Amino acid sequence: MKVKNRIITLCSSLLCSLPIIIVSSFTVAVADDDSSRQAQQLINEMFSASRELNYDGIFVYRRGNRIDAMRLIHKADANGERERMVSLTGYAREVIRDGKSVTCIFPDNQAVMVEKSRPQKLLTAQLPEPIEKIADYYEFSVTGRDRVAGRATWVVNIVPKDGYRYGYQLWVDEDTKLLLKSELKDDSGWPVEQILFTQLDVVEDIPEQLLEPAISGSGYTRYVGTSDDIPVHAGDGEWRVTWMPAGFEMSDHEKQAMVANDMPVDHMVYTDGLAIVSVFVEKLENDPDAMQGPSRMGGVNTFATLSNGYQVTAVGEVPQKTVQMMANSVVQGR
Amino acid sequence: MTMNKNYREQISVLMDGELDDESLSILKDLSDNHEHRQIWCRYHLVGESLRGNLPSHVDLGLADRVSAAIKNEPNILAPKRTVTHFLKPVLGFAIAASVAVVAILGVRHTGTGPSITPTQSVAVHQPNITSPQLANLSTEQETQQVSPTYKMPANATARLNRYLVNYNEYRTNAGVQGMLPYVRIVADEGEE
Repeated sequence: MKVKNRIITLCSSLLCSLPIIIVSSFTVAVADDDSSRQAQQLINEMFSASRELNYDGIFVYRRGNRIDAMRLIHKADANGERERMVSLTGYAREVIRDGKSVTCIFPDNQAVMVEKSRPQKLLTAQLPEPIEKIADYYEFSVTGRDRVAGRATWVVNIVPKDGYRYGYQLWVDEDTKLLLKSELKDDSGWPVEQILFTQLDVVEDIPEQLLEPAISGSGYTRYVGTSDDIPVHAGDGEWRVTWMPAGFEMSDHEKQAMVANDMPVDHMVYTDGLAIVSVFVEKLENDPDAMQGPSRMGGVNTFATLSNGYQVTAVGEVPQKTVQMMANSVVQGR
Repeated sequence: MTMNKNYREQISVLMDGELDDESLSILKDLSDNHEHRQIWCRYHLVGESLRGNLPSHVDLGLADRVSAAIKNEPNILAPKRTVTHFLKPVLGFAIAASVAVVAILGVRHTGTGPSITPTQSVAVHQPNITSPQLANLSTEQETQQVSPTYKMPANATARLNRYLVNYNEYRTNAGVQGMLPYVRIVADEGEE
């Protein structure tokens, strides 16, 4: 055990000091079929573990030059999944999610927002697409081992084959298969976002009170979304995204009535199996409310544009150009 | 230990988020200087104590250990890259959108604590860009504050906010769970 630990420590110090050399040599050495299959299996196991285990951890979140610490508590039992994420730095924002709703508490704004949640359709279904299909657009490999939050991890690399998607580097706990560290990378390899667990406890049970908000929210302004989805019939074809990167397909399309607005919103979801882009279209009542142009929050890029009095907004964990081109390609009619 | 009063004041001001020009040098100093870091810790301890936020056990060595850990692993928490622009709008039409995003997910503390009424939504922010549209939306509140605070139309901010939550819901249920989707909502983006 001691020897093993020493090897891991050596590996991680090498990785830190010589990241480029190590990564590239590993990639060349092991980016073969076996490595690809092992990576894909680890991702599937990670997906299941994150759903099925009870855990309570603290992680660091970095984007740009900002760093925050957060706590994540996840409970899975006969009642389904519940989780709570709370910021330990700055404002004590919270998101609490269960099978019915997502509640976002913003103490800085004295606001509470409640939206409908979308319970996992198939708990054990793992990835939404056959991994072979995803492998047409990304290269998977296990690049080595490392140590995070005191646990031994596998390091999984997912590199897109074109510039319209981001890459991922994932540190997966060898024991529990939970994600302990993760980087979202742009096409130059620069990590747009990072999370890093400093502590993660996998436990038998999560006490109920840990899933209760620390803030009562009484007196806060509440924004509650209606849960009515207006069914969209296949072939309606009212709004279409006419450009998307190869491999992307529409996975969902619905009309929703959402918070603070009675106007139905078309929500179209596109995915290549890994990355997801949502395109929202809604009629604008007042022009001053219009949003136009790009913005981003960490690894999520958005692009808003106007089309004949409709607000079109693409939101996705993909490069800016992808959301921009998709938003600009939206047309009405067949 | 010699510690001039001015330095202590600077630390205090930095803690309040109001030190701009010198903050980088102070932060650099804090990361290098154990004694100064101790002062930083004690000031925070005092502040948290006054606010009644102290847990049963306080670990005064944490900052030093974090500092040491960061020094050992520079590529993990402090990758070298000089230019990072988050929420950087393309000029012109981008202003409304970018400010809207900041307003929802990144409302910044302005010291006096803007009061929020129901009609004001969650849209209070200090943009670093001025535009006629934004200026028109400012209210008497800015006169009470250190720096101007503007309001965005509630509809635009609420809209982007719910887009993000709805996107996250799909994100949560599919794709690689690489980034804990809700982290972007819990994180206070503030100003870069």
